[in-house]
Amino acid sequence: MSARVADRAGKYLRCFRLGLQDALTHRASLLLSPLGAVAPIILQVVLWNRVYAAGAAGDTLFGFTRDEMLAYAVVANLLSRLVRTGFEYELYEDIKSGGLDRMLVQPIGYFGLRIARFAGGKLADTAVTGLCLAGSLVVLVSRTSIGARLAVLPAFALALILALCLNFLIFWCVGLLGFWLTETGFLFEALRVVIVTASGGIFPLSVLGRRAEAVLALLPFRFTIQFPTEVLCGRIAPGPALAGLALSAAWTLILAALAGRLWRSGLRRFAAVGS
Amino acid sequence: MPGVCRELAKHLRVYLILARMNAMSQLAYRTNFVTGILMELAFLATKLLYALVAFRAGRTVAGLAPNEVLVFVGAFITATGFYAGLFMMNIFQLSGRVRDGSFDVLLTKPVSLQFLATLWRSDAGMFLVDVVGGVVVTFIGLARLPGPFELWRILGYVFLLACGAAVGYALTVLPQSLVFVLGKGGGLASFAGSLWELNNLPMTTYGRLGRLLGTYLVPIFLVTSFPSLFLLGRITGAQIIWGAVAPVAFLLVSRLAWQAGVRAYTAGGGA
Amino acid sequence: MDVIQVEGLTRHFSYFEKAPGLWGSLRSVFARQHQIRRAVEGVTFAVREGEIVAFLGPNGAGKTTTLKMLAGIMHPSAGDARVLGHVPWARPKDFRMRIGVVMGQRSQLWPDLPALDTFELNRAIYEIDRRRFTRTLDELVALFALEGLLAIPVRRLSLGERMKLEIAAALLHDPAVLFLDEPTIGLDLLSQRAIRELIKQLNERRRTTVMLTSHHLSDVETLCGRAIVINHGRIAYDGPLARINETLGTRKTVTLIFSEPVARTALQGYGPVRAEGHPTATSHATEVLSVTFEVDRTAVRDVSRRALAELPVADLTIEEVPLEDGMARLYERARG
Repeated sequence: MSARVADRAGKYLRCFRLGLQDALTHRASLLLSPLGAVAPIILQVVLWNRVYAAGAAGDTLFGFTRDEMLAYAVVANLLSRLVRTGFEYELYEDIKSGGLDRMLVQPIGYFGLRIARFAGGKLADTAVTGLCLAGSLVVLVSRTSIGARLAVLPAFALALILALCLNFLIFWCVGLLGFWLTETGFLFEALRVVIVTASGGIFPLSVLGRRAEAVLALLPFRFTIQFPTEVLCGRIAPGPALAGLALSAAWTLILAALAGRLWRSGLRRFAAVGS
Repeated sequence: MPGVCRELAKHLRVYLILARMNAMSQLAYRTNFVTGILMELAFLATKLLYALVAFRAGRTVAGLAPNEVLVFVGAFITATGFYAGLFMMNIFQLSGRVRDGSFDVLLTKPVSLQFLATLWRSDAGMFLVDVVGGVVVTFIGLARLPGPFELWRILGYVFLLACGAAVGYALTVLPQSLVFVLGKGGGLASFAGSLWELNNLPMTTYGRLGRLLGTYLVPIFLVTSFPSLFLLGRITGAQIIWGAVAPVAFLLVSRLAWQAGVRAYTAGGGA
Repeated sequence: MDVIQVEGLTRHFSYFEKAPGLWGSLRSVFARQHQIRRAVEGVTFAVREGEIVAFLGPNGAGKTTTLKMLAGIMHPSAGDARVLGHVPWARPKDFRMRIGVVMGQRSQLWPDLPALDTFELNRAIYEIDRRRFTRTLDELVALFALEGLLAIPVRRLSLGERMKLEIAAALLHDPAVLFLDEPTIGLDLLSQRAIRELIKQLNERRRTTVMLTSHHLSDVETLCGRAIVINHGRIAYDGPLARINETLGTRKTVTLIFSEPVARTALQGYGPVRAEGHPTATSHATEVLSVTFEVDRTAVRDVSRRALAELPVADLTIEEVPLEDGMARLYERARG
């Protein structure tokens, strides 16, 4: 029994290392990838500075003071890159090319292997983005009125882990659409843009208007970017933060169940119809 | 001189044939075509969010009324049609083509190599979505502003947009030339793409240093801000001159960079 | 008159070595090892107008690199060459208008469109006027039997049909020199033969000079022109095909896999044995489970018939003697 466990663990480790190796081989793109967040951050910092400057000092807009909004812009954009996936295309390819056949024998194994590979590739990306995040926080704390409260860190860590899992599951479900669609083209990319916007990855959801904000409050997306960002920026009091974490965890479970349901029904259709 | 004209006419003819072939190829894949348009619309909406902020905040942004910001965003969307529809695909595909050898064959054709490598693929769907969408947004913004439509302003706008597109093209060729030296170009291409995004806001919102850099060093602001400033009657004479001269200068610089890159490829270690 | 002249052409590549595994990848982020590969070393030859020359050699021998230099795709590290009077890597327009290039692995046809569309594109690129284009196209359609293929999207056609169209596309502008890189790779035997016939007819009708690379010996059989054998970047042999055949081309290998062990003594008289497979380690000396014979080309049929009749054959494979095996012999011949 332990031999099999060791063998299974070895497979996961190999996948993890493959993902990491892949990322490391592409040196230039590895170093440049957090740069993709630079443009939106610059845009938003410039925009908010100008917009708040046109009003009185200490103003709030959309529920944020100027410094809070700047902090949100920086953190949300970096977190957006941090929780980003990309394996939905590979998952779709696996389904289409019929490579899933070999994985049918061990459904949990496939899921696990994919996570391992994804985690490996993510590790390199995360390290770089994490450094940028830490750096920006230092700048924010020293240059603006945002205080540094170490107390938020454990809550943030938890929120971040949940955000990673939740986003992973959301896009896992997106990838599973491959069971039902013959071609997806750019659908995944279109969905990604919409999901990121709904997660507060571009602007806080209050910018989208009260009605939109109310609707989006009922959906899981805000827990992938907006919620962890606000926790880190100290905008959420301990009580609501705890409630938020619980809700985040609940959504993660719901999506895990959904993913499982989609996987099973998709496999049934796959086995019956072929790819 | 007539030789140059003949060559230009030939390249234009080849380009039109390529555009047609690209469009036909894409229409063969309906889903890709439709979802591509959906994706482009999604991106278009996120660009509009920046104008939305100005409207909802109900304030001027660096002295520009929200409707004026809308005009700038419209120009940005139109210019993105050129970038996403005509230039972008080629940037992303170049390193792959260099690696799998399909670039080599282009070297043997009696047409400009730069032309073939940078303009081979085009996406009529994305081009039209952005150009039409951008024009609509600009028109809406302009219509909500006081003052009549003046034909000469619109003509000048179109001219400066074309100049901006030329500058944009030159700015995409520059990083592509590095592909020959650096190998995998994906990271570089997305970095170039993010610079493009900075045009989402009017250049006047940026600080003095940013404005200078974006006008003279890496003249991204020529692409959307200059035409918009002209349309809104806020442009200076010096800017008009630079807006017409810069494309020529940068096309030349990018051409030299391209040639140096190709020389490195054909003579070099064979990355 | 000489259409291609090559003098001491040399090409070296520098590349980076990466150690395998995760540790190697981590290390490569910081420091990489620099190596040099000598792909082509001092190659010299000349080709007359209307000749068909085949570059033969094992993989990595330098064939494609030489071809690329002659097509103007690559600069040499040293040496000189002239094609149609031009320096290829200077890529003058007249040079590019008069050569045609087909790379076996890279298709120039647009896969989702009928070949005719790509032909029209080529017409514009090579500035062929409408009348000449129609005439040439009709000729090629007749010569290559392309009727009905032109209007079908290329990805729906078979590999053999695609290759024919690929070569036709390269001939629309009536090039003086045609460079073909592995034109028969991946094709079934019938298609391979068809392509070879095409090239031969083309050469006879239009006196197109053809340079092709291959690692199939049979590519040159039909073309019966001249063969230049390259190995490790150097020319091992340059001359008429017949002499190569004498050295290697007449031999084939016949591999038999048996359903039960066969005694060694039963294998007498078939030919020299190249390889054997045994049921267990102990029966090494007396029994075999599989065997590979080297057999003269003309004797393949008789050997096969006899083996199938006399021995418990489960599987029979006939293959060419790999070119690598004959290299040593070729070197000797070139020297002797």
